[in-house]
Amino acid sequence: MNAPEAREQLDVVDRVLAHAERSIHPSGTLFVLWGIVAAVVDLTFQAIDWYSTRFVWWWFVPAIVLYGAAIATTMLYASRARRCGRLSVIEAQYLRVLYISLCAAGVAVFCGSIFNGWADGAIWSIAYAIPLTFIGTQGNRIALAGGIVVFASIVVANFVPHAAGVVLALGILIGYVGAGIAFEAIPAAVAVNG
Amino acid sequence: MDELLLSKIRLGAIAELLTAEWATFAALQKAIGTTQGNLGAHLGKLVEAGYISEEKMFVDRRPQTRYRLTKKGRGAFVAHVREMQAILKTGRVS
Repeated sequence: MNAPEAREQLDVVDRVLAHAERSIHPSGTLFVLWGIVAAVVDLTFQAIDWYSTRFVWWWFVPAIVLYGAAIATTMLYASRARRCGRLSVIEAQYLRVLYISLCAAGVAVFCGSIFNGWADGAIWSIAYAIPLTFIGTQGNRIALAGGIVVFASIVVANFVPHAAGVVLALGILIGYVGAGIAFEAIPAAVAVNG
Repeated sequence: MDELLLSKIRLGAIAELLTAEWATFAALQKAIGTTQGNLGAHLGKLVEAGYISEEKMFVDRRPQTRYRLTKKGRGAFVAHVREMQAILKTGRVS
């Protein structure tokens, strides 16, 4: 083989790799739905804390309805993802980070005697912020900003114990739901390259 | 030199799978731009060599074939690219 033939071979590789996805620009719908679910749960606990002395199950009806809608939509998206032709390495890594974070949050919710009070809400915020920040570190600046907002809300909530639920909910609404709306509104190239 | 990767279609398929967790036959065909029969034959050779793995499944009651790059395939690709770069530098076959 001579040098021009070797150059031709490397050009083939360059052409293919140039089209490869190097960042994540996820669909925003799931972020909006799951973000609203978490915010509504935080606000419900806050409302109970402020206005009620005993636990009343029907306060959680809106959260349960939204939770069902979020699960149904997620299943719809998962089914659509199975039909698509390609899953990039970076998307697969993001999904693994998402599952691990949500599993960790699930364990924390189960271990209520260790993570009591607002710890549950804060752990859910962390579970939402980690995958968002992970997308951010892959070059998506909207996701990075959203992740920072969610993390910051946990720090602020720490210093506002009487309204921690409101602060955590605001963090998720601005950081997580806001990022979801931006993912839908802003084209991928702008979100990644600025 | 890896004779198997001298084909542009096989090299292109490996390069496409390098950044993918998996890709379907249709996605590879779209990315490489070749005929179904031609691509099928080339992918068959890569599967036979253990460079890629093949999974057949049904999605929405339709058959779908997915391909993944194996560790062996990744190593062969990297070695091949290094060899091409060396040829470009020295101007001769190593």
